[in-house]
Amino acid sequence: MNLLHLDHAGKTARVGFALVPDERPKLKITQKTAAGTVSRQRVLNGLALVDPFSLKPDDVLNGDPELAAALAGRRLDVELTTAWFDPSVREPKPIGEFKEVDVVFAPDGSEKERRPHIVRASNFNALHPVKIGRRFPLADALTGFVFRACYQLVHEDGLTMEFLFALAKELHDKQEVAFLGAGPKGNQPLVVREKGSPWRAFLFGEVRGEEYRLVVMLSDQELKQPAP
Amino acid sequence: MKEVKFSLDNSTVSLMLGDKVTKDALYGEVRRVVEKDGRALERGVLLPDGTLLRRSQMSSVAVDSEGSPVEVLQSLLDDQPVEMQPSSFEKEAPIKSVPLTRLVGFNTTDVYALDAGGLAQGLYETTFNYRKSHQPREALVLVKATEAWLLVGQFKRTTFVGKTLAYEFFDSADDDGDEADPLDFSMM
Repeated sequence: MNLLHLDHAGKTARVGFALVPDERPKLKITQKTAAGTVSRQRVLNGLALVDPFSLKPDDVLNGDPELAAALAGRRLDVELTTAWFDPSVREPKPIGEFKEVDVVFAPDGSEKERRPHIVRASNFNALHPVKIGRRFPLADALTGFVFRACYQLVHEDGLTMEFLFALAKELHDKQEVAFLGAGPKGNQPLVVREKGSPWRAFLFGEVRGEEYRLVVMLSDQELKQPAP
Repeated sequence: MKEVKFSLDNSTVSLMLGDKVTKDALYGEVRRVVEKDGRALERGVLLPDGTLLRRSQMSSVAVDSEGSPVEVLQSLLDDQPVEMQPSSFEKEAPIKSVPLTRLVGFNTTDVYALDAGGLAQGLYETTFNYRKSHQPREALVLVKATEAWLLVGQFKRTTFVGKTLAYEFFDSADDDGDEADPLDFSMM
C-alpha cells in the first residue's frame, strides 16, 4: 500500500493511501463459437504505409498505391515497439532524437501555447507533506466538481489512527470537504503516478462510533456548462 | 436532446439528455506532439524484422482456438449465455433517490447535461448505457436548482475503518488504468 505524507494541525504523518475496490465487480464476459472460445488477433489489414493524403488523383486512378495486398492477413504475434516516423516522406524510416512538445489549445480550438512536454513526478509522499487547505461546504464540493478517482486514507498504527480519526471528525462535525495541496506551499495539484496527470484533490471525512472514513477524491473538472 | 425514461416509484419520469460535457470543452486541451526539426512525426510500430508500420495498417479480428477468423456466436458469463441489454433510450431503468454523500466514491467517466423536467432537486441513483451492452453502467442523476446532470461511472466501495483494519480489503482493488493527457487547468 502506498503512503501519503499528510500535514494537519501542525503535525505530519505518513498514512496509508489505498485504492478502493469496485462496489460491483466488472463482468468477465467470454465469447464463443461452435469451434470454441474466441480471442482477438492482431493482423495486417492490407493498407500501405503511404500517407493517403499525399496521393494525387492520378496515383489512385493508375494504380493501388494505398494498398499492400500481399501483407493483408499476416498475423502479428511478435513483440511490437513504438517508433516515430515522418509521414510526409515517400519511404518513412524510424526517427530518433525527437522532441516532445505540449501544444495547448483553447476551448475554441485555437492554439495558445507550445512548450516542452512536462513530465510530472508523483508528489503525495514527498519531502513536503500534502497540506490541508481551503474548506468547502460539503454539498457545494460534492455537487460542484466531477470526481474521477478516489483513494482512501487508512492508518498504519495507533498514532496515525488518532491523527486520521481527529481529521475525519473535524470534517464530519463541520460538514466540510477540505482541499488538499502538494508542494512546498501546499498549493500544487496532486500527482498520484509517475508521469501522471495533475489532479485537484478533495478530502471527505466521516465518523461512525469509533470508526472513520477519509476519502481523497480527485477532480479535473468543475460541474458546469462550457461558455457559449 | 434525446429522451431517456426512468422508473421512479412505479411512475415514469422522462428526462432530456443533452450533450456530453468534457473538460476539453471547458478548459481546452493539451496535445502531446513529437517533432524533429519542426516537422510533426507520426507514431507507428516497428516489427522485430525492422518493418515499420502505421497504426492504421493493423486491425484486430476475432479468431477461434485454431486461429481462423470467426464471427462471435455467443457471449458467456460464468459459462452461462448472457444477452445484450438494450440502450437506455429504448428501455426504462429504475431510479431511486439517494443522499448526496452517495457521490463520495463515485468515479465519474462521462458527464451529460440534462433537462430534468419535473424531477425534484436531489441525487438519484440509476443505470445508463448509451448503446446496448452486456452490463449497464452505474449512473447518478444530480438535479440542482438551475441545472441537472447525468454522471456515468462506477461506484467504489469506500468503507469505515477502526481499530481492526483488514488491509486485504484495499489490496484487492485494481488500478483503473490510463490517465488522461496532462492538462494545466485553471478551475480553482
